[in-house]
Amino acid sequence: MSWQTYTAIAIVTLTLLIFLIRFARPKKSGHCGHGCGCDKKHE
Amino acid sequence: MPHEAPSTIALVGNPNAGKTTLFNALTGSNQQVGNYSGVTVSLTAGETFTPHGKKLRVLDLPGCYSLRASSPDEQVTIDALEGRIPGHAKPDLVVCVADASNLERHLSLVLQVIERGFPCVLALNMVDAAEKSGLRLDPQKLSEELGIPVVPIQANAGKGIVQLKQALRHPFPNAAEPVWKTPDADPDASRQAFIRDLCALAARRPDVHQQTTSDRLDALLLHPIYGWIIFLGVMFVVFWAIFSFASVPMGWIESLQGLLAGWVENSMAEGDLRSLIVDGVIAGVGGVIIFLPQIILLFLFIGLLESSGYMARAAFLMDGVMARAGLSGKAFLPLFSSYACAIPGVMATRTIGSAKERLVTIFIAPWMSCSARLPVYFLIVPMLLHEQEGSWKQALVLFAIYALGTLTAFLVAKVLRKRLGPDAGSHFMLEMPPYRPPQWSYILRHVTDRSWSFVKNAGTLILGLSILLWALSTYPKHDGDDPSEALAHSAIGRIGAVIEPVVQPLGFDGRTGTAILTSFAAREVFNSSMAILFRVEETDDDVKTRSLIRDRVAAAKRPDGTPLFTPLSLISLLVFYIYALQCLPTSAVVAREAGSWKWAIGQFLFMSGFAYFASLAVYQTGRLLGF
Repeated sequence: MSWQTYTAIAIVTLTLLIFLIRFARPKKSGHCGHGCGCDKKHE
Repeated sequence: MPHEAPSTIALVGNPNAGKTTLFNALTGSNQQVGNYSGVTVSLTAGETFTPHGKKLRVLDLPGCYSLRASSPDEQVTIDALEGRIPGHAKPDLVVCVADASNLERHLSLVLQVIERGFPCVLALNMVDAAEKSGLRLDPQKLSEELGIPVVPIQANAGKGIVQLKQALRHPFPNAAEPVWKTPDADPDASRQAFIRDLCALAARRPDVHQQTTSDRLDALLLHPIYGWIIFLGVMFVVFWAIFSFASVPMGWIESLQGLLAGWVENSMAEGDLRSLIVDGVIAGVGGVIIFLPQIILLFLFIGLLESSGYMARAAFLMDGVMARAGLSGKAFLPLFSSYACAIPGVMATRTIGSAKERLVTIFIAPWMSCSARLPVYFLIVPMLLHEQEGSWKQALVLFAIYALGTLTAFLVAKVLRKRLGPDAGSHFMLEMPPYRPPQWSYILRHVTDRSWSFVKNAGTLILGLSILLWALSTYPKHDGDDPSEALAHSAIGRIGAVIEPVVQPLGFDGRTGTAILTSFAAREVFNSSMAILFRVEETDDDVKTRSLIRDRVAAAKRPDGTPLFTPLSLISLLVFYIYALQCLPTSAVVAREAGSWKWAIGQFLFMSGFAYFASLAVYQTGRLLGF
């Protein structure tokens, strides 16, 4: 395998890890998550 | 020196009195405002300082007409005033915000606040518009009669804010005596009589029959025939403008994307990392970012319509249509907000007093085509019509897409309302704001917020999913040179083979089915997935052509050599995206607002099933008819 393949696999693994960590992290309730830009942070 | 907790002041007033504009002016915040009622449905807190540097906590409460708690947002206001909201102290002072040109109506709430014994200051907002309409205001007289400080302000221009802050200095004024209250009389009648006398003294109209510019405009814009023609015309022009004006900046983004991909290909040797950057990251993220100009234009037009005051007229016109679906005009604004994003739309249903009507509105809100669906529509509609057919035809198709979603939503609402049964009627009262010149600073901030959110989503979620999708479409590797065989050998090829029998009756192949599956996290991921999955169709080295996913998708063939996408299969795909609920944050907000995950899960299953069978019916009927 070339260095390009190693690097690509490392990037994919890192992305997968980030997704898994974000998925497992407890969510804050009480707002939409600000994903849609519909509001600013409410206190 | 002991730390002293800041005093709390609450902004209370009728809907569209300008509370949030005042809140922004006091605290330097950037909360959403609009020239229509019901923009604020939850409590927002911020901080400001008196002229002597004393910190004050400011609560912006949802607008309400009375303190009777007839809808969830009014209940929030009452709970906040009584100090029943965890984390927020009972207000030490209430700032009643009233529209100076509508004092007869707005003062009723002010009197109710005084009756409850709250120390109170009256902020007389929009005095410029009131005086322009010929109203002769006497704040001094108002203050004497009500027994509370009265400060004329113009919150949108920041005028009178310093004077208002002076009135918020310690010691706060004492609670006023409700002199209009008599033990035997009906409280509403006593208030109305007092307000009538007060306005005759302190808010005199020179000629009660004088027609304002807004009145003259309303005679045309709310006309039962011309009003509808203008409404449909305005909507059509918005869609047409989105397609025609956006084409130039979209061309720039396409060229930039092609240049970037070409530069990476020329700078790097062939390999997996180069493929990941060009076919995964640039194609995936670019497939979504290219639609940014259209998103910006959509929000710009929504902002213009809201800010000018026309949106409230649209709600008034729609009241009759809503009634046929078993809904009141109160449901219009939540549903209209859902065209931008279903999440604020679902939250805005808090203004609806009837629990059953609120549930039905929440249920159908995601069928108002939100902005996340637009990239998918913008990809498919030009393929259906060919770009040279002109923007007006594309606008017409887009108009039909919105109409189809809305009409189906109303039909389902009618059925649901019948099943849920009647409830105590809720009254629809809509504040008809005066027409105003657009507030560009707020419109631009609103457009920037939404656009930045779109770009941020592309740079995080879409980027991540593009990388994962590239990996699934690349590994495990195939030894041969044929890209189609390599894709069939990859993980995504195998997933596509499993999905294909399910989506084939809808007119799609396994790759399209996989792209649909990936878009259940967020709709716009469909474009990235298509860009990545159809890269094998690339046949020439032309940099510009490589960047166009539409060209790649349009050129895709079935194994027998026939085109993969026919007009019929494209319509089937459009129908699927009109109806499918593919937004996890929306489901989470529905569960919270409806008070149960059952509603959210039921809604997801119903809408997904409906999308599948509607798409199936379209494709199979079309085939039977020979298309």
